[in-house]
Amino acid sequence: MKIRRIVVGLDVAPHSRPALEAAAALAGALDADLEALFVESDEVHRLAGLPFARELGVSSAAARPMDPAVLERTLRAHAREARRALAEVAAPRSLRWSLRVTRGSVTEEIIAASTGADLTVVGARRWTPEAARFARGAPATIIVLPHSGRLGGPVAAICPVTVAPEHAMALAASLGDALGGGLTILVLAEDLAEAGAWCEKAGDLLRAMGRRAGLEIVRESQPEALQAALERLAPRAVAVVAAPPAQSS
Amino acid sequence: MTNPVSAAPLAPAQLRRTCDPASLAFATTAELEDFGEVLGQARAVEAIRFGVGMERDGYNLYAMGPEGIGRHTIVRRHLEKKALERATPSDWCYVFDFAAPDKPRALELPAGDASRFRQDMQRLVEDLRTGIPSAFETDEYRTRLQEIEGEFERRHEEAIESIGEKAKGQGIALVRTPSGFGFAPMHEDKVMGPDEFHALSEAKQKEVQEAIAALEQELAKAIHEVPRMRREAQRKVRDLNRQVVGATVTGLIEELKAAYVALGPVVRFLESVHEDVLDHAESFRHPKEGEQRTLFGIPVPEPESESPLGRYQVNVLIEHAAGSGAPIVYEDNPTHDNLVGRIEHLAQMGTLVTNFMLIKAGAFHRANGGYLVLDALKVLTQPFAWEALKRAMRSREIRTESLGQMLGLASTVGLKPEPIPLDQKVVLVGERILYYLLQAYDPEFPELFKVAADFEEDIERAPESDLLYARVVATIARREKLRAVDRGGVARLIEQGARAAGDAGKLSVAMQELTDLLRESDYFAAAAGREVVGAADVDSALAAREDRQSRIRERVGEQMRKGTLLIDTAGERAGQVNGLSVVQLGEFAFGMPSRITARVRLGYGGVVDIEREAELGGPLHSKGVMILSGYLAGRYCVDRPLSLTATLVFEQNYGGVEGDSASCAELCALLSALAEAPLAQSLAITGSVNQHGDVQAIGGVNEKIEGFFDLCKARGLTGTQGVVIPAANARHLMLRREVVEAVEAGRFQVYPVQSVDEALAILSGQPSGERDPLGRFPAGSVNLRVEQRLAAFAERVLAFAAGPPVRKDWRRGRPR
Repeated sequence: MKIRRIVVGLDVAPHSRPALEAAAALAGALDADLEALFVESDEVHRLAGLPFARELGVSSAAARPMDPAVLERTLRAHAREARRALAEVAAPRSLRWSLRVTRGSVTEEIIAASTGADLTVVGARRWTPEAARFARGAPATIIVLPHSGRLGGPVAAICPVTVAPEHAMALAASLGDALGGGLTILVLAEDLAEAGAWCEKAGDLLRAMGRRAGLEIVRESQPEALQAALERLAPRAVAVVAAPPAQSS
Repeated sequence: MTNPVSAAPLAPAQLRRTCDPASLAFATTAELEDFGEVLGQARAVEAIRFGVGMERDGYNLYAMGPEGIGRHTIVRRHLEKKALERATPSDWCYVFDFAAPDKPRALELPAGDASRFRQDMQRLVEDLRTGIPSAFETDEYRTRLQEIEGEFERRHEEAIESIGEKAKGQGIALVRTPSGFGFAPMHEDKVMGPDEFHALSEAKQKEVQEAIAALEQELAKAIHEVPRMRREAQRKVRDLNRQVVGATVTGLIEELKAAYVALGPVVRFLESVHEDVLDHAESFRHPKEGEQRTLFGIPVPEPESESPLGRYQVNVLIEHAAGSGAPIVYEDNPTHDNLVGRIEHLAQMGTLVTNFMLIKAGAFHRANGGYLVLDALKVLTQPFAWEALKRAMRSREIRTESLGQMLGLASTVGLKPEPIPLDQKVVLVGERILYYLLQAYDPEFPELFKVAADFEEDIERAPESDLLYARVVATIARREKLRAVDRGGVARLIEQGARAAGDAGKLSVAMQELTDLLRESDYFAAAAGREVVGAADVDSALAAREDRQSRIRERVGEQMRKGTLLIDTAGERAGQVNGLSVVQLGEFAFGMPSRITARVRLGYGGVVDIEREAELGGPLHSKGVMILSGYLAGRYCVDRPLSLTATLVFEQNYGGVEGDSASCAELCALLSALAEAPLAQSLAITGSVNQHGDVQAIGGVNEKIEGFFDLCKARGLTGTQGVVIPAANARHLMLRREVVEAVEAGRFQVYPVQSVDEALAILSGQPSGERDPLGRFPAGSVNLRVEQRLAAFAERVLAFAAGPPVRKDWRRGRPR
């Protein structure tokens, strides 16, 4: 499949920057357009409007009152910083890029923006229920970058058996190329026989492409098993593979 | 009244003690065996043998004597013999001290092992470079590291999430803000807006705020826990790193420890390396990667030794091949740093940095366990070198410290390398004067240099020593790859040896001079196409050498011949005599006649030395002139005052005069002036005189005679010319063959004298006269005239002292 449009979701969280870099690397490798979405959380705005609103520093734990006007300025500065960072990562790769700033629920805004995108990239500290919400909610494929730091390293692809192996393998191979590192595909299935057949086909495809990847079957009904597998693999990036937009529509 | 000895000149045979080639029982020196001993240096050799053999503190050697005697060669030959018998000293290295990085640790290894140890350490680092990264690549490591990092992340987030969950239970949301977290009340799963909040009752608002304050406290507590949790995680990662690389590192280092098990310090160093590698295992993962250091954006090169892995290098300071014996080191530039070693620096962006790999060995390190030979003058003239030498000898350890550091002038980061124990014997080679000055002025010197090897400058000349000398010539000729010398040539060399010694009865043992003469003779033999060096070649070499150096002598001779310098070689004149002096120009000396004149008059001034008054005379010359007053008073004026003012001068002397060798000539001129007895100008005289009128030996007698001879020869030898010399100098005569031949032909004479009377008789051609039993000099004798003149002076002085003449009686009463 050809990935033409990549959406990256950004907010004030520190893991936005690795997500941006990963998205830029992918866009460069796959020759896709990069659309960035900076979401100002409406919850923060409401908090700042409260008369007693205070903010505790993430590392100092020092409390200081919140002021809506200051918050506005801070968020605008974050947005400017996001634009600068985007330009910085895009320039060496000659990417076509755009940045949009919205206000609302971070998850919902990003899911909404990913409509029609071939790939959506968001950052997260680890595989959390929120990350799972992205995976479920986004109509296109989503990548979650667990830890801050450089790219390169193991990549895990979560792939339901409902997605055609050809599509899954092509996407996984593209991601492997773009992100570097070994690829492990976690096949989500309930029917083990079906999963076995899927894996066999995927293996053939990998061999045909001259690639190597690990294949593990995880029961869809056991999210804790998925969690354990991810902790064990400690991937730098988790790709949740969904059916291509054309098929799902 | 006669002076029977005075008229007898020396016979030609007494003027030059020749060496008869027939007395040498060989045709050429090729037949002679090498002379393995040292000619004429028995005392010095015994001292060296004693000094070298004496294995006690302070028994270091000072080899003293003039240049060119062969002190270095003789010392080295003895040291080489002894060095072979001694054990080869240890190798020494400097390694990093992990406990005190600015104090590199010194390691001693058996001779020949230092290089091996350096290679072993290099190999260890290479093995660790491959072994440690592969240990980090294992699944086990990755999994465990992930566990630790995940655990930290999980605990951190769980702490925050649990507070978030607790807050949610109270209807409060934990909201992420741009730089932290905040709490806000919720309404229908959404953060409450201000309007909604104000709509709450006051009690409710207060309740919410209290709940939020409590939650904030809890969150602050959780955040404060984070650094502790991070430290804990880091410690766990360090422990993990140690465990993971431990197996690899321990195996490799244990292997090395087994190889050096007998060397405690090396084993201890390896143990500290072991610990350090485990602590810094990360350094081995990507040692070449990472960002280059920059300063103001300019890349700064990082030396290998400064990198974390550079710390495991070995700086081999000094190494010896096993079984090579004790080292003998001659340091010809004994600066402070060349002796104690130096710590070099690298310039980095205008600053100077150093490390233990930049410690360089000095002469002390190289000579440790053996012998160090130094030139005394060079050590003494190099700033702080003498002090460094003494300090090292006293403390018996080498402390490498740069001068800048020692004087507190260097502001760069410095090192203090661990001192290395020092066991060396020092041989100083120098002049005698330095030895005696050091003895007098440096209290430590006698303690440190207890053995003096005093080299002789000459040996007694005897038939057996002539043969030894010939063997020395043979040895030098072979060593220098020169032609053999025939016996005629050897005889000439022996004669020249005596001339160089300044004594017909001695032979100079200045080996450098002999070697030079041999080389030059060989050159002339080669030029003449001869296979063997003969007497003619030696003569050519000597003549050429003299010719090269005689420009000034010839210029002086020319001035005398042309009458610019007034020296008579014929006729006679009262109060004037030809004295003789020696001009020393570097190694070349030549004799030169000087006109000495004396004028006398009545007075109290005594004998006035014009040279002294004009500050052209040295103290010895002044002393010689003062003796003359003593002689005059004691000989001629015992019972009356010496009422004389006499002036003595070296005519046309513009460059100063020193020595008392002209005092006899000055006395003769003075007596001649007093007696008004003319002196022969065809003669010259040299010799010093004492208050009794005895003529004493002087130096440079050969040069002085030849100097006057050359002038006479240039003007034409008349047969009346000659030189009067002290009889004590007769044994020193080794005159040029040309002079001897002139004497043989009766055209020149050399008169030995023992007293001034003898000299005066020869110069004046009149008897000088001796007192008879009644104490009177014979009538007409020079001495009588001197005595009468001085008596007349004294009477005149007494007359002056009596006051003005008394008015005569017959003048009384006459009108004025």
